[in-house]
Amino acid sequence: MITLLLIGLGIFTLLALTVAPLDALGWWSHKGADEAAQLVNDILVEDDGDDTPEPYEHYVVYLSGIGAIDGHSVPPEEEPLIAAIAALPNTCLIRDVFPYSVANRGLTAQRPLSWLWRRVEKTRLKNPDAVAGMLVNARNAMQLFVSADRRYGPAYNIGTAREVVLALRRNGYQLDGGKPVTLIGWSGGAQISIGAAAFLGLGKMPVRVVSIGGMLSDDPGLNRVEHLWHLRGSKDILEKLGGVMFAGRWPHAAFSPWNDALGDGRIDVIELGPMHHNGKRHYFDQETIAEDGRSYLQVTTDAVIAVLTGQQVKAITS
Amino acid sequence: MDGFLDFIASVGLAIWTMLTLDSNTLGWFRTHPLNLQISATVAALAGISTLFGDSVVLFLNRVRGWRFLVTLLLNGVAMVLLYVLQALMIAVIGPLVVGHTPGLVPILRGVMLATAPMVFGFLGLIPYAGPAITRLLQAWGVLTLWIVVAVLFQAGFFSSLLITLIGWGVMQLLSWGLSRPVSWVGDRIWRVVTGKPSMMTGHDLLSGQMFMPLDAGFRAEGER
Repeated sequence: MITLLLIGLGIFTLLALTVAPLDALGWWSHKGADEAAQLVNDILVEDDGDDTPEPYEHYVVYLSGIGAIDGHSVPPEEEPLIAAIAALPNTCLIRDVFPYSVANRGLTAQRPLSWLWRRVEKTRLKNPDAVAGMLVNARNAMQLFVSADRRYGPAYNIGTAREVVLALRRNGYQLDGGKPVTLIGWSGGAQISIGAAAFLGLGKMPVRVVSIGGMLSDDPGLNRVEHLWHLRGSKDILEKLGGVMFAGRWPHAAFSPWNDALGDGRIDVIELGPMHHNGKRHYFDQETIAEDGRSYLQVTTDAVIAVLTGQQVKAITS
Repeated sequence: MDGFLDFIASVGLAIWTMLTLDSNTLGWFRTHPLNLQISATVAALAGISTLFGDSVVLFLNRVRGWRFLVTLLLNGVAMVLLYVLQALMIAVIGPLVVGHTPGLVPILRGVMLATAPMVFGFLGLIPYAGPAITRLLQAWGVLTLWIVVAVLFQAGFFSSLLITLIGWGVMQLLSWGLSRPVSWVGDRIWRVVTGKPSMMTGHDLLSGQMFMPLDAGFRAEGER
């Protein structure tokens, strides 16, 4: 019986993985190519003639982890960090980009399985640790691999780049103005960030990325990232898995954007402390207190704020 | 209805036999009255699955509807031709190596049956791992061909390996050598039929240089 269940689960997983890219490919095939062409034209423009001053000095786009259901429904544990970033002066925080859909379409939007995701969302609201929540994680994790794939990545990443640009513009950002943009990606959001950077960084926009426990590939987008701060926990297995699974991150991999960026000094890998990726003692854990008296959540929040404000990151010392 | 179900079960058993590289159970296949139909079905399933796995380039080039189906069909015909050539090559090389031949039809049947691992060719669509899975399936396909050749020609380890490698190698060479002229012809037909520039790949997109659709008004940096 258990064997049959495992076989069934294996077949279901393979089929789910097989259809995972179809969302992005369908978007590209129907309208994405046209929208993408327009986006690249807009990004490459030298001077659009609009000299309206931007209301902020710095734009920050928060791309949630794989637990997100849409741009607004992120796991509650991430909220304190988001609030701390929003409180920074002269900084515009954008948090309504759903990184696991090329068209910024949340899972509960008009989709064939939206009924399922609505039910999962309700269940998760009642019990944040419900197993059903893992379905959301699994679905979004697959999109991470779509972003990292050299075949699908360009179509997927230009879609998310477009959504980021639309969100920036809604907040007064001028594409020809050169104001810095920092993408903060937690977990899978970090990979999506460096993927989108491949297109965001085509023009005048200086793109920086902060990864929190990101499962990062050797994405070509790294070539267009001004700087990447990779914050990680020493007990985060999923973050480590990125360094093993993606061959371009192996230390001596040739023609690797990751190794090129490391060589150029554009990547800072910062170990925050003995954090896990999820479960207990994770990056957003408010209950686990480090020896210096800060909660793990506070350590992570302090680190992100330090990076954004150009200060030294204070990791857990034991 | 029972006959149809029996046939489906036989196709499944044939695929399983090939996947497990079990030459001992190939005996039932040789004596099966519908073995030609079974092997043709296996090859058709392998072809459809492989083409579905490779369909990403069609999506990227916005090929939809009937054009999507026609392109898949044409690619399928090209794939069948390559396997027929492989069977012919084995039919020519085999007797030179072992001194006898089982006949062209059994060889053709065997070559079609040996495509069984590619029934899972659709897994090539899996993000990131897809290309590696496709390579693995292709390697598995060579092993199944080796088993089939050994049984067909009643040949030993090295003789059957030699025949297999020559047959497989010639198909790879043809596939590689013909890919550019076929692409050129396809490109011309594409331009004439659609009036659009040629097919693009993911690399074209990522370069930040010119990419489709040109009709959307995008121009390369160098052209600006």
